Amino acid sequence: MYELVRGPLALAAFFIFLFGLLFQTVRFYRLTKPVRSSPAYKPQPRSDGTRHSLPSVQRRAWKQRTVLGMEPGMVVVTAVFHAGLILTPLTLLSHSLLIQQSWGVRLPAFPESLSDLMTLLVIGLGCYLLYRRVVLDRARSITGPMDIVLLAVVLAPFLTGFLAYHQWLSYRPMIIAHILSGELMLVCIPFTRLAHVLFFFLTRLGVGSEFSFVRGSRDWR
Amino acid sequence: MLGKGERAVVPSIKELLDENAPKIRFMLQLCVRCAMCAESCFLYRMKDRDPLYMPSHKMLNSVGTLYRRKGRASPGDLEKIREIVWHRCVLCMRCYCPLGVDIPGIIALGRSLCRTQDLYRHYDGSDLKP
Repeated sequence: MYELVRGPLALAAFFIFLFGLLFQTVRFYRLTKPVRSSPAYKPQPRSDGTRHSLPSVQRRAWKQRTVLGMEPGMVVVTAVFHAGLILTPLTLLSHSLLIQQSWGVRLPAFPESLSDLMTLLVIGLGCYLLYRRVVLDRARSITGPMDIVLLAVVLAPFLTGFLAYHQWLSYRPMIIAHILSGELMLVCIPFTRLAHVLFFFLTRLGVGSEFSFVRGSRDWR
Repeated sequence: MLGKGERAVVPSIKELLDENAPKIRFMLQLCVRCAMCAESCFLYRMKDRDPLYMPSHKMLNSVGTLYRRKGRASPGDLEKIREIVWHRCVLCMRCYCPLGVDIPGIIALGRSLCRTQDLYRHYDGSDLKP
């Protein structure tokens, strides 16, 4: 069983993950079109528009214009959660050793105690996101069963990995559950709402809008 | 004539939904239901932060509902959707989505869907329930 999930199943999951992301990128490009900027366009220095306004008005305008200004706590929570979600598996010593075994490439890894802490942080913040979904009226009003299932799919590899590492329960079934849940997450990413791992960068960097990070060179068709 | 609660495929709505299906599907997948768009809607903030006025709620419960039901709607459903896209949103385009969902684009499509059924806003308020 271990050989199966560690070998062919893992390879299949990685292939589905990568080709799925490629498919989603193509899909995004087909839904958007390049925008030609007008030759008359000149970026205005920011100070020009606000030179005559009061500093307090400026501050309030900035706060009300961005997610960071309106919900700073949630922005910090999601930023740390998502950074942990991506960084922890990529910098884990055990994963680095597995990659070295398979492909002979040694990736840098964080100390195990730090990875352990990051895992706990991801699980803790994930639980907070679940709590927020249940308690906050506006979040609950649009939450469906799939949102809870996807959160569980994402947290399962972290929870099983943590339990397997500390060997609080029997190791063998736990590590198999860990690998299987990781593979399930990889397969789910491109084809569910988890695809925002890719879409976030494509839309916020690619599509120009008043609120995007950069000017963007594309627009929705 | 359908009863208020009976659902049937509305051909012109189905046609417009099919035409825009790739974009609707993409936006419904892109929205992760985080509710972080709420505060960007001035109507939401004005109406005591009622979730019904949250941009994502309006998108999911108008075009989202019609798309999920493949264009099947009862007169009662269409009336609810008309109220969402004409009364709960003024298409000021100030809503922001952390993931870049084109919420105004989808609400505008919701209005186009309503137009096929002659469902508009009555600006004298006569279409609002007392």
